[in-house]
Amino acid sequence: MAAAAFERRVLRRAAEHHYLRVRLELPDGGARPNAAQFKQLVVTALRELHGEVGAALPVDVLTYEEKTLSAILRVISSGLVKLWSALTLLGFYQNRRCAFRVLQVKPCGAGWLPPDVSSGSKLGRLPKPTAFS
Amino acid sequence: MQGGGAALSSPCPRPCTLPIGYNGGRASPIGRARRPPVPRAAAAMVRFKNRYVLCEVVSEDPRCRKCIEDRALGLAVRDAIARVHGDYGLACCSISFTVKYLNAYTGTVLLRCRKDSYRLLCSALPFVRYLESRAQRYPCFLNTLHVGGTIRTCQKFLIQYNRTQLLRLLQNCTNEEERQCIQKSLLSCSLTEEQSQSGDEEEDDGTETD
Amino acid sequence: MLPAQLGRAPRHLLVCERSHARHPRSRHAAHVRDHAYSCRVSFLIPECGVLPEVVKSTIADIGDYYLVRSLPVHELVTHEFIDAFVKKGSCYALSYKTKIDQDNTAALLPNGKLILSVDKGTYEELGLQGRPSRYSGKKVMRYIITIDLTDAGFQPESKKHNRVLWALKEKKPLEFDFLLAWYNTGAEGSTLMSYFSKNQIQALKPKITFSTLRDLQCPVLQSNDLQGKPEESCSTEELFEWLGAVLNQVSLDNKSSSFLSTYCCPEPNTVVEKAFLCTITGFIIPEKIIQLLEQLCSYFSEPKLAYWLTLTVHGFADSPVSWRESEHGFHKGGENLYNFVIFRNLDYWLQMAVGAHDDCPP
Repeated sequence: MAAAAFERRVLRRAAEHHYLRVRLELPDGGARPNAAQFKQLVVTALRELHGEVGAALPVDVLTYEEKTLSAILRVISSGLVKLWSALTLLGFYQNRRCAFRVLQVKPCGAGWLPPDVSSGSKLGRLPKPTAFS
Repeated sequence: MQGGGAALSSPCPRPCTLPIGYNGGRASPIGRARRPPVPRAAAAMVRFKNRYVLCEVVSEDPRCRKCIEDRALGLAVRDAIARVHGDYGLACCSISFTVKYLNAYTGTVLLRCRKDSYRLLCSALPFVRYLESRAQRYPCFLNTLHVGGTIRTCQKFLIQYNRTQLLRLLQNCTNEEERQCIQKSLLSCSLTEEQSQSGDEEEDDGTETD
Repeated sequence: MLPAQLGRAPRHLLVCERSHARHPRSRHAAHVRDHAYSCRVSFLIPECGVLPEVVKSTIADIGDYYLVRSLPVHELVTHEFIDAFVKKGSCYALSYKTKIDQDNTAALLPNGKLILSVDKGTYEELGLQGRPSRYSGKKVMRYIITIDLTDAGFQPESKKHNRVLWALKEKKPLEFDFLLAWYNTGAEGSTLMSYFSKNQIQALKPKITFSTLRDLQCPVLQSNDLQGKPEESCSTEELFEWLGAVLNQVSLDNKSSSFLSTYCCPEPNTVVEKAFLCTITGFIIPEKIIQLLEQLCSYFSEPKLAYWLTLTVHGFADSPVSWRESEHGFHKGGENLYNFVIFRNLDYWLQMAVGAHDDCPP
């Protein structure tokens, strides 16, 4: 029991990275971007709004589903506002209208839930949750 | 203006002109007294805080000096901001952004922007690579000298800066004629601030004994 | 937006605790018990191919929960309900598919407190005493009403009871879909199913998924070192991030040529041949989580290859409370979760995360 010393640490704003669950909305028909094109689109959005400095922001595409056009992005915490604003203001993909929906923003990786359980309140409506059963 | 070796060989050192249109110590108290008191109080309450960025245009090409003008310089800086910081940065810096003062002869430029966004502006200045005028590009770069809250502090700094530049020139003089010329301009520029005149003379003495 | 605010991320809290599971003053069970509403429990056991029978039976025994459609809230404050369920065990109820930042939300805690999180209009119509929510800036747009159903003053026909009943029944009838669960030690008494038989009630089973992860990179942890040392062990934050990646099946291979992602497993790490991941989704009550936790602790009673295992519990993002009665809100992410790391020597780490303006976890 000697090793059982109690220790408690409270970390405020300690998360190095933030995670965003985003969905790209495109008009029906036409080519869907693959993972690399998707990342390129994110970087383009950053370059448009925040210039070369913004485009240099390290953004990771952790998961990307081409079928649903949804992805989980990881970004360093100090760049969260930049990334979010850039995604919001992006309007075109290959001369077609498009829009990014930011569904959830989390400061920690383990905070994720599959979209059918959690309900993303303010940030955007997730696809209608099916009951747990 | 230039601290580099190229300027030292020129026969007549240029910075003998007054750096900024300084109207002398006597004129300002009158101007201050004339100002009605009420707007001043109001202005103090809701003043927009600006930052003035003092920089100099450095170019190898002597023709570049011709195209140092408000429009070309403003465009070049805006272009750099748009490239480096994007639409957001450009919009931030555009609030009250102007080329406040410009001396094509010495290459001195004074830019103004809001206090909140001067970091964006300053970080974009090194990315200005050329000035464009009449469809011709002249490579140059901007050397930031000082960032101040008022034009006055920038002017003070510029006088001080030019004086040290002159002193450095003086040390590197090769013949008597040059030396005389620089001493004359040193004395003339120290006249601009009366209270510090005695100190200037001591400085001059010190440099002459070197 | 000023440039200074451009680099600022929203507030969040992560509390890390370290203690021993068998220590008499360890609070791990209390922490689990205080966190009333959980929607997903997942555990990860490295170096484990098949689950031991005891753990398997605990999972099978997680129990049903109920979904009642459009149940008026006043039914929860009637004395038949209080006497039959609230006072005879732990009764959990949470409004389902209500969004904490725009809808009215209700929750019944096992200690008999009914918590209503309502918007300003509803609050004024109800006329019950409450307090302003922490999630409403200068202009209060949301109120929290707490009604103690087991209070001595809340007797049948008492003034207080009548007022609450009148407010919820006639003044502003509130109706929600409720998730219900009930836990009692004795097996007697009526069940929720029969009590709400005249309402639309549906018994649901938790959804359980198993998966085996092959060749997983796991961080190296030192049970007595929360902060970690370079070259020796990983810190709690690093583990937390890694766990998120594993639970979301993010690929951890760190190729230098990868254009998409620079994510990699924290250093130092070891490659584990196989790891067992189990996820249970549903309305899971704390009593069952404590049982599961105990079973996982006893997993180490026999010598095992694994040095540690983890148990992650996600709370409902839209629950009005996180721990005990401390208010929870959504704001930007609504995270509300805790994670146990249990070591071979039964030392444990507990990480609790809440977001935005929530109270610090206990």
